[in-house]
Amino acid sequence: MEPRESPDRRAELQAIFADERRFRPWYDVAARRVYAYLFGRCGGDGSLAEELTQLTFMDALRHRDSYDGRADSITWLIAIARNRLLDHLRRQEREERRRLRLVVREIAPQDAHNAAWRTRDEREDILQAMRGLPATQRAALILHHVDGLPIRDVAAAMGRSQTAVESLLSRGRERFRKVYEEQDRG
Amino acid sequence: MDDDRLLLTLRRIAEPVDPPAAFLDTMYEALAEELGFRRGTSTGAVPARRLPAPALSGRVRRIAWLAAAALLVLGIVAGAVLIGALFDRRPIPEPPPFNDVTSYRSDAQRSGIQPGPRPSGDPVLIWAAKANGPIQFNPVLASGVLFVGSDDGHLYALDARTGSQRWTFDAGVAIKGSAVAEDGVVAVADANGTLHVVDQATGSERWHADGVIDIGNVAAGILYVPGNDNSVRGFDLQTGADRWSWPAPEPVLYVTVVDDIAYVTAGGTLHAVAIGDGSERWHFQTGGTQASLASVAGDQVFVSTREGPGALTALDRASGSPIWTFPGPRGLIVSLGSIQDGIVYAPTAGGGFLALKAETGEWVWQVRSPGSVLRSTPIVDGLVFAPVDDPGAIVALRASDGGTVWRQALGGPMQGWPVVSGGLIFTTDGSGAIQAYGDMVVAPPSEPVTTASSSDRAPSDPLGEPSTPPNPATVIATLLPSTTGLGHVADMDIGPDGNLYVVDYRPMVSVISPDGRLITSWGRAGSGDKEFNFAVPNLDGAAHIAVGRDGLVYVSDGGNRRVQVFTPEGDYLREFGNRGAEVDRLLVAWDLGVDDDGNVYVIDGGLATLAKFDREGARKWVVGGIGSSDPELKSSGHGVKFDPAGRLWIANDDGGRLIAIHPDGHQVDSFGETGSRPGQFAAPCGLNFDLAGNLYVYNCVDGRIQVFDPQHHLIGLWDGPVDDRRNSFAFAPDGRMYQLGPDDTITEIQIDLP
Repeated sequence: MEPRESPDRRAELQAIFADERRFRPWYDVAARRVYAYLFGRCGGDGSLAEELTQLTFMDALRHRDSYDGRADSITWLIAIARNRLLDHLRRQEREERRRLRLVVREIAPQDAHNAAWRTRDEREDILQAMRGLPATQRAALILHHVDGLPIRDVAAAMGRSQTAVESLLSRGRERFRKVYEEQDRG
Repeated sequence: MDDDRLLLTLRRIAEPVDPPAAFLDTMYEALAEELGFRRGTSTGAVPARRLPAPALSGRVRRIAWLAAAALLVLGIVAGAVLIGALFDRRPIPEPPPFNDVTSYRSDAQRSGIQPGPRPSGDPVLIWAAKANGPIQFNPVLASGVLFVGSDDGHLYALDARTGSQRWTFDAGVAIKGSAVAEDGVVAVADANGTLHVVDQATGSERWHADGVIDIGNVAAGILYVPGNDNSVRGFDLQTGADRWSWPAPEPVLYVTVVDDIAYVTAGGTLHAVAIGDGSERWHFQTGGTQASLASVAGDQVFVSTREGPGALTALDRASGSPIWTFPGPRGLIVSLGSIQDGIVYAPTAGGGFLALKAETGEWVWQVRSPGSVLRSTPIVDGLVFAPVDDPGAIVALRASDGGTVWRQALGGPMQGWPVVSGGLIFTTDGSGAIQAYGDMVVAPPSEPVTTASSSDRAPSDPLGEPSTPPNPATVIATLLPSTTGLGHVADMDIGPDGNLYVVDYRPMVSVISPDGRLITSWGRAGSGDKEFNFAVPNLDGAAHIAVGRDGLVYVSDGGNRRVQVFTPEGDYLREFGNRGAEVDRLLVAWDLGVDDDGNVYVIDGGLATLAKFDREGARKWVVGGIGSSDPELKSSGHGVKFDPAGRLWIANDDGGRLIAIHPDGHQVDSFGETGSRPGQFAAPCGLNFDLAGNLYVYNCVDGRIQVFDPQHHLIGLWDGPVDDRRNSFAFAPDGRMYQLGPDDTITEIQIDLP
């Protein structure tokens, strides 16, 4: 059954955006959820996750009139975050094509938050293997295997045919497996 | 690792993690302001990393919104760079050093020569910040700190490497014009006529004086400035004590002091005044109502008009006698951008950019682009950096011939001059944006790309010996947009008349003669006849063109889901691909080709199919796409071109394969594999055949072009810049190759194969 528009949810979100006393508790939950969604999908790049989180909230503020209440407000935010992530990966794919021959410098995360992550080796290995994937393969894996979208929806989101998405998934899995296992052995 | 464990492992990236508290607080404050919970109202724009409000205001210091809306794309690319950076764990190279740029036009002579170093390649955005008001100020740089004044009344000191703020100085009213940063202080003038001299390290004011309209330069410890009472004044830089003055007959606009002579611009006249006794040595009336700041080089002084008829004049430094005068093209203002090695670089307001011999005023070169340039154009290590208007951008021109090396779009026109140092270019503009562009710091590739090793052999070499074929390409000429009129190019083909047919994203079709002159053009945005919509989501646009043997021009109009057909003169004839049942229609008309019988083959960028249409536009067959039994045709291809046998070839970039298809729709040949070795393909995305039937394939990933004979033997190879436009090339009836290139150029290439 398709979710139905909910005037109540719409009105509630409008009220949240109109009253700081309601906005603050909503924000405390929503910001953590959006950031948590983006952090791993950004390959553990905290700065990028922050940037996309900011852009997600700004999109939400600007387009709050388009919220129809079919999903709860945080699910709606996550959908915006996913679009922002896809935009980023599309641009990264283009950049990869141009820059593949360049070896760029390491920019090590400086803040304590990221430093804490570095101590979690297994998780870091997973994120590092993810970062080692081309942007299109990473997008396909995230949308299908992590977010659980059906291939049809992944294809629509990425502007590719379903066959192309299946191919990307296959190659992405193999590459992820190879990189991850090499790290494991190393 | 089996599949189940793989999927479990993958899903671990979704494990929750808390954001940094400081980030949450910062974002909350920004959102609260955007929602009107704080003082100030919503601007409707994504907040940039605004420079913090002045400390004296008592407002909470707000840090770090990381990207301005106008810089969003570049910011995200920079984010991509950061992620890509994590691939590599080699040591970080030392960044280039910062050399000081202590005054407008660099030095007392106002040569405009900056010490750099400059970026070595196409720069990318490194950092961005935003003042709370427009910037109409010529920044200076000392000891790795960039000093920028703003109409918001503040002088900002920014760490040049990171963009982080060191301090701000509050003048209360706009800080415009020029500055000097010498001997531990920065001197600026505000809109109320107050000269402020501020400590470079702390931002505290050392002293101030009234009655000053701008900043000149420092000579022997004395700061010379134009006063607002028709005078030039000199202050002790460290103490502010009055040291010198000279009454001018008109309002003073500029002053620079070189070798104890003050060159004073008052109205339209340049005066040479001895510092020692205040006597006027000579004066020269430019013919304009306002003249420019003077520049000194050798025994010459250069001055131009800023109001009135345009003219740039070289004067004898000793006598003030004119040596030569160069009138501005069509009377337009011509100014002096920089001088080096006997060459004057002279931008104009809409009349192009000139290089003149300093000794005689003769032309060395002229380029009609890059646009209107009215600000100083510093020269750094063989490149001239020109801030241009319409729209705002900074363009790097080769000092040797005026060729455009790169062009960087900005959020708006610059209102000050660019500073180049530490491998970075610093720009400012009327929106208040302050941006630093530079190279991604690169280390040498881990493996050579073009040199085969013993384990890195070309597939075409049966003996297994290293085999990199010769480079058969010699660039004959580069056709510049200044003559072709091209912009935002997308694809090209060559007609039987030898002319070049180019489609671009403006959107427009242009016909260019082989020597680079625009013959005709047509097209505009829309969905009617001769109108195009190339904006296709997820494909970064779709604009392709093919010319038939009969000279008819076929243009893929991707967003309108059709192909339009024109005469060589641009008369609309018909369209197809958008008729019949939905299943028979094109979803996104993309790459296309025309065979000798006038049949048109169109790749559908949305469905990943290849369809054949007859001369009347009826669809004859479709192959590939979802459900194709041929795995090589399942994903979309590029480059619909025909070999001498009439077989159609496409490149499958995902699979690194080249595929030949018979006119009846059956695959008849294929070869190739993905890789970076000679003979392998790294995302092949462009191909074509020369007159002898040799196949040329362009790799989108590494910019390489490889040449294969009809038996698929690799016989030629050359590397070039990675640029999406280079995948479009064609061969003229005389055998020469024409290829689209960066900055809307077309390169003419002579091919000499073994």
